[in-house]
Amino acid sequence: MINNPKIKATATELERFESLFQEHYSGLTRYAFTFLKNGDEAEDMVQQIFVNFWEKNQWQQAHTSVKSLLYTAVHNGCLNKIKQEQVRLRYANTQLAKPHFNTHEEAWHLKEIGEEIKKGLETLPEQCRRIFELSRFQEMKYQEIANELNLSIKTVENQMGKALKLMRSHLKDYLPTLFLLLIN
Amino acid sequence: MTSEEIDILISKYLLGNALPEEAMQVEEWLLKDPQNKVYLEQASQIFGGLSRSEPNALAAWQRVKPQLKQAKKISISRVWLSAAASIILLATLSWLFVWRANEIDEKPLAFISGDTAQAFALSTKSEVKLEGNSKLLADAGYGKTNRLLTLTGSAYFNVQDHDSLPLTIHTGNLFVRDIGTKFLVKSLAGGDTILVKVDEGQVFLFDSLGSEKHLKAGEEIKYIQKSRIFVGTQLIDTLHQSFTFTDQSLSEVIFMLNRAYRTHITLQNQLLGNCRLTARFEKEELETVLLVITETMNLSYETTRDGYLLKGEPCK
Repeated sequence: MINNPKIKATATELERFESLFQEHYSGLTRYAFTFLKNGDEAEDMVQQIFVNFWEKNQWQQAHTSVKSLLYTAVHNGCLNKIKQEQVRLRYANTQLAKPHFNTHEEAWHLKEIGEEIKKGLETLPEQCRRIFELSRFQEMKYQEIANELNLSIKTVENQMGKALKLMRSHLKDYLPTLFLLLIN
Repeated sequence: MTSEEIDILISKYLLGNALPEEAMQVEEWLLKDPQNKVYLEQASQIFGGLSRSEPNALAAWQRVKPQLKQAKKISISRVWLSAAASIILLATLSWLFVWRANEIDEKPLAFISGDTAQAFALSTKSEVKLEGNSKLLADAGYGKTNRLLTLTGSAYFNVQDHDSLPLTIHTGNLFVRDIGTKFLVKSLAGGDTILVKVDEGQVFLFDSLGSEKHLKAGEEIKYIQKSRIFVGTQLIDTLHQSFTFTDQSLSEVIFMLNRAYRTHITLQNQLLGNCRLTARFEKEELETVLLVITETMNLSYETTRDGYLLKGEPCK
């Protein structure tokens, strides 16, 4: 029987670290994806951040929230990556523009919802639609939109929230079906 | 949160505009109700922003775990070398510990001022003067792994001892790292703004989102907590400052504006400086002030490399 306190301590340390990993991995990867728009890159980014945290022992030393440090590391890491590699532009031309469909049925529904999104856009108030288009299709950040349209960033945030509400209402008959297709 | 606030939050999140604390808010909201995940998935069909496949944390851990072991193995392979070095180091550290114990008291610190300002010794060579109703708490690892102090309120620091662990003041979202100096950290506007003013030496300011500034003796800056930006004191002061000019020469007016806005306004013709101006400006942008002056005096202005040039005929 191994009765070495050092080994015990290490095992406990690793278990604690694994528990931290399991708790936050999905949320952090989801967050990274919102910037990078690529699942593999988002996962690589988050895994590397955890390795760095382990090596630098940051997950134990930090007395402020470890969770907050992890989310901040993902935020900064993604912004640096976008700056360095311009990945947003690259994937906007590949993955987002050319989604892969599992079935003909799914493809048909996605095409249909794409058309409904276009119709829904036409029902949005002018300013709301303009902001939605700049954000969704030109991938401009809120600050960039605010500068472009000479608006406050708060107005941009509010208008996008409004766009979501109105678009959801317009697409209410399509969204549940689409969601079921995606999770199956 | 109201449904409007949720829509604003998840729009921001899905479109890659969310700050770390907002992303954490989204995750907390997701945990509250399974229906919230459905809502987010549906919103992502409109905005994009979510991966089609859910990340697999168990599989990911299997990829990460070997890398962690490797990191540990490196240290084990160096165990004998480390042991030899440790003996020498231990002897040195023991001596240093005894020396430092006499020099600096490294017990965890907690200072609280009453209604009036109060001075406290941080060590034999350093002190802090807390303004009324302020508080200074040391981090749990203070003196061992860090010299981190959390400040609530305002304080003036006079730090004369140099340590391998830099003294760092944490207040709101801002960190102020001392580089051997005398400096003030002041909470303004109910804590929304933090003023840092350096009298001697220099400090390094940073926050968790990567904003940073070096500040030298004689300089001061304000940090806006909500927007997490640094604003030059002179710039922000002009936004809260009023100028009243009563029959004053344009030369005097320009002198004051140059100081307040930290710009360099010049006259094409020095005789223009004799023109008289009566006007009042309240919390105005510099461009607005210049527009009013030039309109009033029938002048024009153009931007130069470091400021503005006023042009026109001298007053009669």
